[in-house]
Amino acid sequence: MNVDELRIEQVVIVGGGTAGWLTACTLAKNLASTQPGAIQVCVVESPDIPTIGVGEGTWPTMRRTLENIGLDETEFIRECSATFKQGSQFINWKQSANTDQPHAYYNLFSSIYNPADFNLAPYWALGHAGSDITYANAVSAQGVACDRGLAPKKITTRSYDAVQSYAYHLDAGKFAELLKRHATEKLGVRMVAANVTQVNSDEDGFITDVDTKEHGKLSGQLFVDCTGFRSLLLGDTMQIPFKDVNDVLLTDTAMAVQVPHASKDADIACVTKATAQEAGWIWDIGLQNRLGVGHVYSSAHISDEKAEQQLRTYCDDLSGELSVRKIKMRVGYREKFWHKNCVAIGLSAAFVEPLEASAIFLVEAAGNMLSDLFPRTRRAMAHTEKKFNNSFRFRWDKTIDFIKLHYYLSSRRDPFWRENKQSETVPDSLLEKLDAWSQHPISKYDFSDTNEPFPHESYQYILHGMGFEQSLQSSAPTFAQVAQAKMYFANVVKATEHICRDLPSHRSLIDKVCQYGFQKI
Amino acid sequence: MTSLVALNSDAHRNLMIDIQDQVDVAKKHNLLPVFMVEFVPSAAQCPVVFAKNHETGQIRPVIMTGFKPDENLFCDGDKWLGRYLPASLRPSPLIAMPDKNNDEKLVICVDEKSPMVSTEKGERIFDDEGNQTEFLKAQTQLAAEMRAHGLQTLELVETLVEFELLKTNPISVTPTNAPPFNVTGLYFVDEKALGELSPEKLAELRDKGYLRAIYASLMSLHRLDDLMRRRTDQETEAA
Ligand SMILES: Cc1cc2nc3c(=O)[nH]c(=O)nc-3n(C[C@H](O)[C@H](O)[C@H](O)COP(=O)(O)OP(=O)(O)OC[C@H]3O[C@@H](n4cnc5c(N)ncnc54)[C@H](O)[C@@H]3O)c2cc1C
Repeated sequence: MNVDELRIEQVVIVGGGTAGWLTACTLAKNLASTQPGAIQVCVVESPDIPTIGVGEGTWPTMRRTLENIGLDETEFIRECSATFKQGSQFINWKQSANTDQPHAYYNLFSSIYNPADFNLAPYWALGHAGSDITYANAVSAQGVACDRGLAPKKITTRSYDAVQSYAYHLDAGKFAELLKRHATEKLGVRMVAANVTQVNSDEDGFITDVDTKEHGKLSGQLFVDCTGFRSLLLGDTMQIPFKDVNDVLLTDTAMAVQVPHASKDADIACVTKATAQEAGWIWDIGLQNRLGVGHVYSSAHISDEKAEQQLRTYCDDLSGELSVRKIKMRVGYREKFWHKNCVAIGLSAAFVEPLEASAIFLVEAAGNMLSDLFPRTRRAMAHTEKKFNNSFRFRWDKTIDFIKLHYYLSSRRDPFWRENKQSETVPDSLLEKLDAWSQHPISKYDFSDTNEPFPHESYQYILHGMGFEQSLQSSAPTFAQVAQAKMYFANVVKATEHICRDLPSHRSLIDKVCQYGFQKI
Repeated sequence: MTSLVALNSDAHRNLMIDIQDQVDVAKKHNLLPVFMVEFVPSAAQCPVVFAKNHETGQIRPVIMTGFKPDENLFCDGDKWLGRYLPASLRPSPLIAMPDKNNDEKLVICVDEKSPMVSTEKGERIFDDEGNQTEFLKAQTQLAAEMRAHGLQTLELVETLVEFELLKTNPISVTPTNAPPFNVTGLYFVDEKALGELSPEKLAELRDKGYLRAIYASLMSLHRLDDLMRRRTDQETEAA
């Protein structure tokens, strides 16, 4: 038989972290693996090598992903200590904290009006919303809701539906366990607990099977590398080079801690907080029972000791009781994500600092694209490979620009922050956009590509939250729908009051979900 | 808030209970919860539909006594205008709860804060020697029945949701002298989905004794017109 006509019957996923199990669920569900004759999915999970154990912030895409694989939202929230996330709050990014008032702004998941229909941003920039209202509050109810500790929905709202768009904060370890159970019990995924010791290829360079210490050979026609930073298949075996982006994104180390809540009924923030530090920033994620906190920093600009001390200060842990885990981060991406019959998804493919929780959300995107374009034969693979690589190269480049944007607009003076603004560290693609946007508002034409990872509105939240200087005066006459814009701004204010009156506190909703659960209808 | 305490012949020796209908608490509510066993008697007078409890989000069957949240066309002060008074308006302060140590066993509890409970008015539950009175025995029986009705109703709703037999859609109401409006947040039996149900599932509904309730709910939707008429009549009377 001609190898080109080789049918894809068995997918082997190596690695059982968030990426491995999420991809397994998505593939098995979309390929209907429980049906007779369907493509089979197998996950090789090492009983010895731990998962990365972080990765607790997500994007609203997660709701569709979980609903699609048939997980019940209530079960997910209960099992994963999950809470709701309505966006991110950036604290002291514009300037250092030693001024009178800390600076803070939001990147929120929903605005009252879709900027693709009517973009309020230029009207806000021209002062039509009033002089002392932030961009976020001028276009969205969610910032006020978050300030007041409110949830994005009610106990009467259907599973996965929202009053205000939301994502989740989740316990990474528990999430992988839940996905594993769901994949193996409901979706027909086979799990093999084993360490892969060697990867074997045929004369064309296609992977044929992997050797395991415990269960011998496991063969398949398509291999998904979910081995984390190790990148055992795509990196080690296929030798696809890694493109470092440490010259653009300067952070390379993280220190993570878990901080129990002070009491069982402690308030829980409904956003990921990111507080700028001397040489990086600290994430702060509230789960049901604890906070997940971590310091992401540049080891070239600060010592580990000092970074740890800043983290402990943030956590009020002056006696040093919390146990801190240090994680070396490899920042960048593989030159290809798909090579022959091997696709890398998760940390094995790429990683940049977790400032906008882009990793899991690109894992979801990869799983979806892989199942949508799933090649049925070896011959069909070359085409999918090209499409997949172009798409993810684009997504990662955009992600890097977007993360860099957060730094570039800062006026902090520490050496790390100053270096972040030096032109040799800033991609041209970002500088071009900023140059255009300084005279012209962002428009839907900047986001016409369906692979665009971050939406139009996110850029506006960052730009205007950071006080980006935009001079629209000369083109002011083109923004002539002032009456309409003013009416919309007034509606946002009204809607904000209305929505906030109706929503429960985040904690009380979480307690109710644990007690009663959401209804499916 | 209720405060439930397990009955104890010493602590509650002199307790008296004066059972009263609670029609006035329903005055400002248009949706009153009912048990599955009440569907048939209720369906003769008003729509029996489903709605979410605002506190818990749980779906439960309700009778619809008005079109707006605070409208009850079946209450005139503390007088009930309908033929059938739902059990939720005849609440007893004696409630059967599963024993903490043994789910199978029921313990009778009393809501000590209930206005129906005192030492002055009503029926004694224990005699001077601490023996249960006939009244208490009858009430105990009733409390156990209520609990069973409650569980049966929960199971009915669970099955309807699982079989995707509930749908929600707004009903539009056109009063004679006021602008039309929509009533939202109600769930109805989906007649089409019921018709398309697999024979196995249909048999399950039959075996569990749900079909009578399901049809009662479907037919009760004709009472929406009656409810509207009741509204118009009351408006005319008031005018
Ligand atoms: C500090 C930090 C913070 C982060 N925060 C976020 C965030 O907020 N939001 C977000 O979306 N993402 C975040 N991420 C990224 C996120 O953690 C990962 O994208 C996600 O957890 C997926 O990881 P993974 O499954 O690819 O890798 P891992 O969790 O490392 O899993 C790798 C798996 O491969 C297995 N394996 C390795 N070698 C072998 C072998 N030889 N044989 C068999 N199995 C093997 C391991 O046992 C393990 O199960 C963060 C990352 C870091 C470092």
